[in-house]
Amino acid sequence: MAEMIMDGILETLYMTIVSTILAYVFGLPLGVLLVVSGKNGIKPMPTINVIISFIVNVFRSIPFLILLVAIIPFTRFIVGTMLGSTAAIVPLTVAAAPFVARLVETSLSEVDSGVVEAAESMGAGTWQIIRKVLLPEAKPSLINNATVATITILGYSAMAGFTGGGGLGDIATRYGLYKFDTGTMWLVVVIIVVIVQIMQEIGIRIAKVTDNRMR
Amino acid sequence: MTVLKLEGLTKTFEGKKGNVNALSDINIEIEEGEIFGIIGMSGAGKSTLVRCINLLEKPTSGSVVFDGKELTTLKKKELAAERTKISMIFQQFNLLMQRTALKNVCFPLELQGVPKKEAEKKARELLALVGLSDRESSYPVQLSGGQKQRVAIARALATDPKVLLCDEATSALDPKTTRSILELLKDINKKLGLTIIIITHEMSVVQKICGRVAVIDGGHIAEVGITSEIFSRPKSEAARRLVYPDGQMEDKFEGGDLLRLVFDGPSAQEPIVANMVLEFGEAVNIIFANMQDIDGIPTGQMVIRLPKNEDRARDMIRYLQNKKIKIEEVRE
Repeated sequence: MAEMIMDGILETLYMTIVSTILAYVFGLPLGVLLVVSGKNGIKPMPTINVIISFIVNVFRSIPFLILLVAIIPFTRFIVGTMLGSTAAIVPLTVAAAPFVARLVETSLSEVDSGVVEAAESMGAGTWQIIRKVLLPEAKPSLINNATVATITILGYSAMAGFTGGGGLGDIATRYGLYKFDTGTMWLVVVIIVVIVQIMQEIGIRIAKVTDNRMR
Repeated sequence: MTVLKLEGLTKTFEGKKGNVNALSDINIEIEEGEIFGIIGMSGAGKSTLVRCINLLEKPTSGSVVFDGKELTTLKKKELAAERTKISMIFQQFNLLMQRTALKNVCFPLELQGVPKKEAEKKARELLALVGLSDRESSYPVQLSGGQKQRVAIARALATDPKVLLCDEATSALDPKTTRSILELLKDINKKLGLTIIIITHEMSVVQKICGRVAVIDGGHIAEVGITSEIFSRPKSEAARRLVYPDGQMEDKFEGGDLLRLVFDGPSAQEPIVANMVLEFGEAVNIIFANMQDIDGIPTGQMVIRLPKNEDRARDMIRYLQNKKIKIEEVRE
């Protein structure tokens, strides 16, 4: 029992962390592109902006459970199976990347346009503004939003348990829903709550420590 | 030598409700090494004009010739290179909030790929020049408004620019800090021979440091000339409004000549006008006054009407000169 829960915790953390990292690998550039190509961006590209924005909206509109099932062929193609934690990473990443793109967009939009203008007046190019102004200046906000993303993905990962993804969500569903063992179910729920609390706390602290506006 | 020449510059913003002519037919020549003021009320087009100089806004037509080069036809890369020679400081300072003062000054050098050590050495020299050597590791949030503007000035100087554009650079600062920032700019102008263009809505700023000034109104240049001349004999309606806000010069009083007194420094510790009236036993009319108390010293200007009696008037002028007050006659 204890071993099963321990495995569940590890599987959940594995799915959450790897999916979050992959979601940022795809979502961060998308978010940057959304801001840069926007109407008031540093390099307005209306067509590209509209297309990316549309795709992001479509993927964000599909309920996760439906997406999970709908992309099973794609998951099989990538991982070779649709079962297990590793397979769950595929739909988690696909679902989270557009969400991350919007979070990144929000964070970068908060950067003072005057500072960007100052950099432009110094002859900074688009790439330099992204790397040296937008991302570093938005860092605390990006970190706060990364915490939000991680916790959201953790919540999704519990649903991935539904299609055999493993993890704490899987245990809670099996014991609570199918075996009516509410004790185990609530124990697992409490563990998830604790994990979320710890993640949130870590996120807030990192954001605070790295924010030089809080000195 | 002319360092910057604007010729037939216009800027039209296309809006949903029709086009707005923000600037029309702007012609200005700015000489190397001068401190040139561009003054106007809010919405007169000052900010658009300054942004057209370094092409942060692309002019609709006309030309911007900087250092002999036409900027409006340059490619993006060439323009970026020219921009490093036209630095800019802003009303809101626009420092990078996540970088220390030193790293902020290094920023434009970093953009040019200057090695870190070399950049930091230069940044330290510049922070010393603006009097902030002891704050190099402070973050902007730990600095006062005046200190932030000093960092911004140091940052603007990092690329050895030929021209420094100051967009309402003192408008967010209190009078005392404004004075110290203007002193610093004057100092830099002398030491480095840097051409400075001051954009402001405050006549007092222009009066303190600009040799020449252009008055901009409704997107047009209403008047260009030597500051003291525009100050004492504003020809255009726009200039008159700036020199005498609220139409305080409208009233006509019986009497002699008008005299402007400029209080600018420690000379005005005593109530000079009141003492003068007591001493001569004759009243003067105060037509206009725009005074501020800075560090307990009255600063600003006052226009008085002298008595009709010319001898008495001459004596009063001498009295004021002895008190080391800057005075000039005002033509009506």
